[in-house]
Amino acid sequence: MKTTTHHFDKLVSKALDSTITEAEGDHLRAILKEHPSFQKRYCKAILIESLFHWEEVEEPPALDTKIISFPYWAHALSFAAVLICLLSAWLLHDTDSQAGTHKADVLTANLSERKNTNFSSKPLIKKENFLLGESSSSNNVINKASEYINEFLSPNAVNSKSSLQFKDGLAMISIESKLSTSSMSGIMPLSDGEMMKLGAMEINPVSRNAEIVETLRVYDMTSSDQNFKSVDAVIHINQSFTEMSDATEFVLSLHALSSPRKDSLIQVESSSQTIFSDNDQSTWERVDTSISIPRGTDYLVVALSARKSGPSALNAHHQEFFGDELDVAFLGI
Amino acid sequence: MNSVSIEYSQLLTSIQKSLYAFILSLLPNRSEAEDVLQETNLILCQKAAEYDHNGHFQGWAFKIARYQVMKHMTKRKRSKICFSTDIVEDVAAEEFDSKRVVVMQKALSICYELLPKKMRFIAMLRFKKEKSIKDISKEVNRPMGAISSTLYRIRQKLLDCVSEKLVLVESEADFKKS
Repeated sequence: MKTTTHHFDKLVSKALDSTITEAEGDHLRAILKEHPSFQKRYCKAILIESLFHWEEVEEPPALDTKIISFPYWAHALSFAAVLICLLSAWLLHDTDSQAGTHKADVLTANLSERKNTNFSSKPLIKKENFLLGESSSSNNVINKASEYINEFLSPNAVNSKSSLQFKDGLAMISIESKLSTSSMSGIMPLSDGEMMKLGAMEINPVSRNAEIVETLRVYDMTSSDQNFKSVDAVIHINQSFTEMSDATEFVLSLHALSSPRKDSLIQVESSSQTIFSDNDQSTWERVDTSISIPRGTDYLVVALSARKSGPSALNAHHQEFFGDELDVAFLGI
Repeated sequence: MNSVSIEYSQLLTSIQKSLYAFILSLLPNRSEAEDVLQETNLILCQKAAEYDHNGHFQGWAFKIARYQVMKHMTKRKRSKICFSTDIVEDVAAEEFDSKRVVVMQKALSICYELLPKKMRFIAMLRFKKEKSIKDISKEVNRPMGAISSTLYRIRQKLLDCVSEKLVLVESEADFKKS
């Protein structure tokens, strides 16, 4: 399997947090042996990690922290050196760093279980009840979000393209499995053999724009007692090769929606980050964004869009667009 | 304990950050790396008289550290991961040079402040207060998997930022010298 920087960085991060498995450790060792470029990156990562060891902590360390007396080394070199040599006892601490692997508690709800979620207690959303004045992309996202919610609530939900899951204590509708594909068009998924393929772009030959917006996840923020204050999202993007075009604009966006009249949706907050994908299928580009979740948010939507403009937009149907490793993390601080 | 000269003590102090980084690269577990650093420092103090002042102190200290890492691995037999020294040694000598460490530290302090506030909080808990993933998860009331993901993103952000800022910091240092 071709090693990507993303995959390598993940292994190194796991090693530093002591959550790496033996097989992953062997894999990391093999990568370092075969790729001098990754050796340099590894050493940089280690150096960054190690330098924090020497930083002063904002508040006094806890009693069970190991104390190594390296005081203000820039100002008292000699004293510190003598101290190192003369000290004969060290206070040791018993670090409990057995993070181990942790599986996200994802459950796929069947039809009878879905009635226990808050999604089932909400009335259908009327499409026309959106806040006007939002950008067309935002309206697209909200439109699709309401479709998925309504689709799930309808009697024919068993045929729904989306799936209801519980992740990090939140009910979530996801269409990622619907978009899932294995390697294609010369592009390999980042790690687990599956990636998402976005739908075909809608081309507007008059304005010479082409766009596809995929609403990937809809979180029901009322399904959890936890008071999440913010959320981070990151995804990797790629596109198939074409001689007729080069960069594509990808946008990862987060939308906080409120449902004040119980049958309507308004957007109360949004954030997005744009990145341009190159024409190199062997590399995935990373894009991330974050948002503070306003009080009263009922739904949190994660969307990915791909856009082209100008002459290359007219050839958008010759290309395919992909996303992989979507990671959404809610913070309660 | 052997007495050591002030000059040797200064050499020893100047190399602490490089030494710790080198040990951590072979044994990427902070707690164990700290243990080995202490053992290495004791040996370096004991062997002060053997040091050849015409030699390269860092190289000599790294050799002793390498041996201590191997000894530690044999004793403990429980670390999940330890790298054989020949994998990273060539690169480590250059990357962990004490002058480079100073520049990296400056770049890192800039990049740390550029982290989003919430990421900086998690970074502080993990990197500065050295809390475990489990303890951080309890403190911020988020699953351990989410904390691991956030830490991975923090490390990536810092790595990319530091690589970018290094050039600026190095040219600033060169400018000040001239």
